[in-house]
Amino acid sequence: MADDRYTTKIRAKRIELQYFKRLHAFRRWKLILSIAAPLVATAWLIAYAARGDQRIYTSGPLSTAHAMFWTQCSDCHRPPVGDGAASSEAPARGFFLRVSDQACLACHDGPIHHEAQAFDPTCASCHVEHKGRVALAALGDAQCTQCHADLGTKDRTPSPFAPKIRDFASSHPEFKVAVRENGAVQRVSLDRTAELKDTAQIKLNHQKHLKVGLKGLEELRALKGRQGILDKREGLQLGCAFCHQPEASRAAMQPISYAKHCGPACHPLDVDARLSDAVAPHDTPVIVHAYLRTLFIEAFEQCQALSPGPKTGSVEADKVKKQCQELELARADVAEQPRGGRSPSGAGDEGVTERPRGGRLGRRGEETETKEEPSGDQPRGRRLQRGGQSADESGSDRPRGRRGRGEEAEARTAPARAAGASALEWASLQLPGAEKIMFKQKCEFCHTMTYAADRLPQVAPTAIPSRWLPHSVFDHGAHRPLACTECHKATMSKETTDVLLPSVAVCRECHRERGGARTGCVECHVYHDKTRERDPSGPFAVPQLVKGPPAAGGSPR
Amino acid sequence: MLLDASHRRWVVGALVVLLVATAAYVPYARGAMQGPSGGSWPGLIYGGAGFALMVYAGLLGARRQVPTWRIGRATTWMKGHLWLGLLSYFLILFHGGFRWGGPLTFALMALFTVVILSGIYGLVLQQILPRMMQTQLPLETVYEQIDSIVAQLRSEADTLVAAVAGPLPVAEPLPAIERRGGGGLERGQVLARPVLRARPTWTTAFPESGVLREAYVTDIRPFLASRLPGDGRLATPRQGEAMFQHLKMALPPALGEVIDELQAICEERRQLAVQRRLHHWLHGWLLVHVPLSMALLLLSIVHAIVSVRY
Repeated sequence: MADDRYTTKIRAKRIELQYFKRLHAFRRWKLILSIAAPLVATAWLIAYAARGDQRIYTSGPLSTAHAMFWTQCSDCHRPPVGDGAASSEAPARGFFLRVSDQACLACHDGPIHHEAQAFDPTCASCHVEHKGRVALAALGDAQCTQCHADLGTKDRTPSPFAPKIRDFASSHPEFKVAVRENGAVQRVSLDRTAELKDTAQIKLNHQKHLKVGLKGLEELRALKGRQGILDKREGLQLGCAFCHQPEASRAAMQPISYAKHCGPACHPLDVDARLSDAVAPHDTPVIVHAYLRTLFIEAFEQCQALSPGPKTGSVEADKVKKQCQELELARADVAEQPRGGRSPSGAGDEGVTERPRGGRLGRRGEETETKEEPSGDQPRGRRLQRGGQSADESGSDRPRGRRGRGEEAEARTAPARAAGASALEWASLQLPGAEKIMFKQKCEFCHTMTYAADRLPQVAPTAIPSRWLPHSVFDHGAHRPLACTECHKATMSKETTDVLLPSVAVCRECHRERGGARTGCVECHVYHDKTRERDPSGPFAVPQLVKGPPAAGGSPR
Repeated sequence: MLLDASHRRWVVGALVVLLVATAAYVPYARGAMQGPSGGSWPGLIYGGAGFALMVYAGLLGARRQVPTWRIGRATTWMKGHLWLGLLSYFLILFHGGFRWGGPLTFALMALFTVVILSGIYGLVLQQILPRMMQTQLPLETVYEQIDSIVAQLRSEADTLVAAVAGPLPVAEPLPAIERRGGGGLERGQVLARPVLRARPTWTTAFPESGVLREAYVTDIRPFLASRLPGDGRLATPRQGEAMFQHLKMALPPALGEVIDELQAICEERRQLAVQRRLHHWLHGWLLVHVPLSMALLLLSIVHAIVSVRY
């Protein structure tokens, strides 16, 4: 619609010559906002500073373990003071406030990784904070491979460890298990089968124990419950978890315990067929010897104290009389009593209950306490092991209480031909045979025994290793989805010497780079020796963590 | 600023720097044990370079305050502002390892992102709107003078209608105080242009002038106010055209010239309204871009000092 009547000159005349000297609303608002925005930003900073809160300057959230420290940078960012010892008196110096090891060591210990390590990195060079809610110990492989990719030592001597490990998938060496040989522990690679053997002094056939339909499992299940016993189509099978149960940390397995895992349900320690209820304690030969001796003395005294007369009708009393007859300890008058007679003393039914010291002896079937063994390696005797639980059947393929005919006969020989002799003498006559049965048949069935003349045999310490791979940790709990025998080939192991640890190749089946489980070094290895950590009492008070440290001093110490 | 061939060197230069920075960043990020970090040496280099470019981009505003300083042409500064400012964003991303960090760094990155996005938005608008204004708004004027010119248009229309329809029941137009361009107006002179001289054939006694008078007071004059009414018969060009056609038919042919002139005034008013709206689009983003840039620079300085210390 513009036309030539409306010339540029006319349009120019409309414009005020000084219009630009006055701020138009648009320019005015731009100016106001340009001043206001920095002012708001400054006010934000001042508001935090007034509260003594420095968290806005953090480059990222602190790890969960350090979450309480994030209002005050100076909790960690402070210069080292003194000669390595923290001191609150020493003033902070300099402009730069990097995190020193001292700040970390106020709460932690960082035990050195290896005495011979080529260099000692600072705490913060590995444990980098402000990366969010992460575990500071979950380091990348690069932290480890900076040394282990080309492992050197401080004194430049060759390292005893694998010198070049870049990752788990390709360059991690075969696992080396700790094998005890002649008292010394040496580490043997799992691929050196000739040298590889389990030196534990215990006789165990894993294959036999894992046999489906193993005799006695029904009774075992009835006695101990279903835990650890697998119900398969072909029959019951002892599961690995019946004996091997992880520790609370799930890193290793609890020691095998005779009381829990072996007997008396499966491998009872019956003493003598004539003393049908007597079960020896699972303890040292000295304790077993003392037990047997006491057992025979008490049996002798019990029989001597037995009231004469016919059978009382009491099952217990009749049982004792029968036992005495088998031991050839029955008094003639007792033995000759007509059935159904009554003792002259009138003790009658109380004959059994009046036994002098028999109460101390464990009898199978009685309600007795079971001593929990402190460790599976070496039984320790404190007092007589009470026989215990009423296992009627053994899971062992060796019949319970079975003994050689000659030994049985020998045990019977000593006699009460010595009737009239003292209890001690009679017991001394019984002991050799009974001990021979116990040590040769019972103990030696699982343990390695050494014999010497004129002294009790010695049980070799079982020395079952609690840690096969001492330089790593393993979480059995995390591997619960897997059957134990996928890694530990126990179904093929017949000898105790078999080492059932899986090789690195077995781990690599799952732990692989792509589409597999994690392969990081820290999955299995720990840098700092946690057993050398400081005591848990730290330097902070709750108000310091909640409100920040006091204005003066700066150091939490 | 229009993106044309003169930007090529800046674009190529910024791309080369970006490629070099990226080529250096990839191995750095892959090799860093704990991932890239602003506190590492590469991170500090990226941060320092990015911050320097941010400061340079921010100096454009200062440069405009002193246009007489001989420190490079304004267009050169503008090109640098565009491409180096954009490059700085990538360098800062490399600096932080693509993480936004804690509260302050998060605020910085949020501000920076808004600043960059608003700048890109403004740049895109500058490629479109000026051309649109050039073709569609031939009567475009200085934005700050729109209100003043609208007042002049209203005075012109008042004078015109009063000449043929007698005195109007409206206030007398105020004389301009300021001197104006093109030699300026005489003191007391209201109209910059005597668009139409009174012709002898005109009389103020047209019996039909009442129609013109009523239409002017009811519809046309409100349209010439500084704030456009949202409705009315001139709300759209089509409606305005129809109304003026109707007036031409209702009024004697002798007044056709007056109607045309009024229509031209209304068209100019409409263009000024469109210009105002487009101007708000074209420059409104600066209300975000500039203030946030100021805050960004301030917080960046604080961040730099605190980070270097800790």
